[in-house]
Amino acid sequence: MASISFKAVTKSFADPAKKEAPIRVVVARLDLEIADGEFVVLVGPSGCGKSTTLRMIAGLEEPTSGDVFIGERRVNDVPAGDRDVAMVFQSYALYPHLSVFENIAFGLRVRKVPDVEVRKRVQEAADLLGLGELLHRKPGQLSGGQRQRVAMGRAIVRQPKVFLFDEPLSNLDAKLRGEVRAQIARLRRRLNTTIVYVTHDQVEAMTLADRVVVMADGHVQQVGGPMEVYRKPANRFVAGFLGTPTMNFLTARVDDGRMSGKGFSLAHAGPWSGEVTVGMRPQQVMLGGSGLELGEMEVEVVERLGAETYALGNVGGAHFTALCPEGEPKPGERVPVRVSPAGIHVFDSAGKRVSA
Amino acid sequence: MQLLVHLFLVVVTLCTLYPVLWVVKMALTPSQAFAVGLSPIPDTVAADNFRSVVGNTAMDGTWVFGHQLLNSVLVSAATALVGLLVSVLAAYAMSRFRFPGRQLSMSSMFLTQMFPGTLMMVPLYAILDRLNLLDQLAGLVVVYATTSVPFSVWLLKGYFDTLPKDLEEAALMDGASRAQILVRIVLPLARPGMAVTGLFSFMTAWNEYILAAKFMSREVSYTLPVVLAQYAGTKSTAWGNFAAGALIVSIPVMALFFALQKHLVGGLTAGAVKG
Repeated sequence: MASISFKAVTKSFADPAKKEAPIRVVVARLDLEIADGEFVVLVGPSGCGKSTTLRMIAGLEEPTSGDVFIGERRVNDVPAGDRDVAMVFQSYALYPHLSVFENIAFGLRVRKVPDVEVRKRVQEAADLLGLGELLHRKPGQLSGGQRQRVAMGRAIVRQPKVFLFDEPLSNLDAKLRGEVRAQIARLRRRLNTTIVYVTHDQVEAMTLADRVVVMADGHVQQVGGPMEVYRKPANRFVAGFLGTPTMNFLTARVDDGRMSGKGFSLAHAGPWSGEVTVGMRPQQVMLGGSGLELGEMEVEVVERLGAETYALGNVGGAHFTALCPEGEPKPGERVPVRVSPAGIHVFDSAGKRVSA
Repeated sequence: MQLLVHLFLVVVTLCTLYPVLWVVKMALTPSQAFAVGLSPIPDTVAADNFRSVVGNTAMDGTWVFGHQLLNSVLVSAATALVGLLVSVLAAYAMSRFRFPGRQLSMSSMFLTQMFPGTLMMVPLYAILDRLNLLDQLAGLVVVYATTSVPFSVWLLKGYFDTLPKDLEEAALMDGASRAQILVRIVLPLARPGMAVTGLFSFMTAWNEYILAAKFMSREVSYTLPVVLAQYAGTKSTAWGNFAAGALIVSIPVMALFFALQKHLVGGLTAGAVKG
């Protein structure tokens, strides 16, 4: 077990093909502390720098400047194999010519662990992951979910200080993804090790993390507990990235204690002025019912998800989604919309949160 | 439709086989004359020509053909091994590391492939002479390996490029050194590529005639292509012996092809990454 810290870490790549921008900054001055035993999820759209951050912990990328620490040790120049860190790759990266047993055992074999010990530890990892029957198969004979478990087995068997997961579920179908996600959560409680997990899937971020780090364009947008980040997004980007369906955004002008824009007006005052963006999660917007009056929504599509139904349409021409009772409204109808005051997020013109 | 396709393939196969069958017929006919009719089926079957080629013995009783066969096998096998050893290491470095001069070395290796072999004959002769390697099997191995390495490097680099990098990164994290990764992960996966490259080097050496004819001066140090050419003289050609010799020379290569066939089949990396 170990803590991890990033101190002003920047990673840039030379990109000589691009004349106008020969240096591409992927991670910009990252400061981040990950506590011992913590499960941290780095989440963001592709190209945001989350995988590069993970690879700098792994030792597969070197920081251009700044320092990375694992525990008390500065690891900038420590080779990947000497960091006592294990990683589960998005592609699983199983050795195709080796059996499942030898795949899991590989790290122990190169470390010259005695054969008896290797057998014992591989067996333990296999039992933990339900791989007992598959030990003699080759990766090519396994299903996606099974390969995923072998990849995890290979990481577990080494009993590392830190586990890294690089989008481990993105190659699985939706149903399996849920199962494996739960398995990772269970595994986490058994292992009680520091885990850094990269994903672009907000559901994984919300369900697995102790703390979520939202990244975009190489910068950390917000760090916090899943519910904290969900309830109080620090900026418009985080607000739009987390939560399904996506938060509704309406551009408004503040005037006389009201925020008004095309097709709506909201009596909600606060320490903001001028041009703002009002954000409302679809779950906190009601068609009819109680709450602050917003305006009228033109319903275009009604989506039934089983447990709940959403109306998709627009308010004054801007896309808008609202939770609605089943059976009403009908597409083409115009219905009054109300919003609960607690569900209103206000962002200034730069996208920064200004509401409490 | 199926029938037509098969019919077409049968015709093409016959066309390809026809000249080969002629050679077989010539080899089995106990005469040195160039007399073949339309039919590729031998009228008589006799092993005289084979006996004469294989049984070629010098005055002092040395079994010349035995020496020559051994020369060819040794030179070709050594060329394949030396060539593979050098080109695997070079190709892996070219494929995985970025270092100054990388692009230049790749291009210059490519450049060496553009000169005809005969052009190299004079300088190579001079070099081998300095090294005292003329009329030595080792000399031929050096020459053949240097000519096959550039091509092999390109071939193998292309193959290494297709191996997923993730595998090597996973092995790095597992604590393996670069050398361990090469031996335990990359080489087993590159077997099809290495088989092709090795076979290529072997065949280049096995079939090479011009350099062998110039560099080897004693009959017992000839390789088989030189021997074959001897049967086709300027004034007369011993067609029977020539045909029998050609068949004998083809057999080892065919055998090698069959032996390596299963390694030539790709798809070994199936299951490594994704599906």
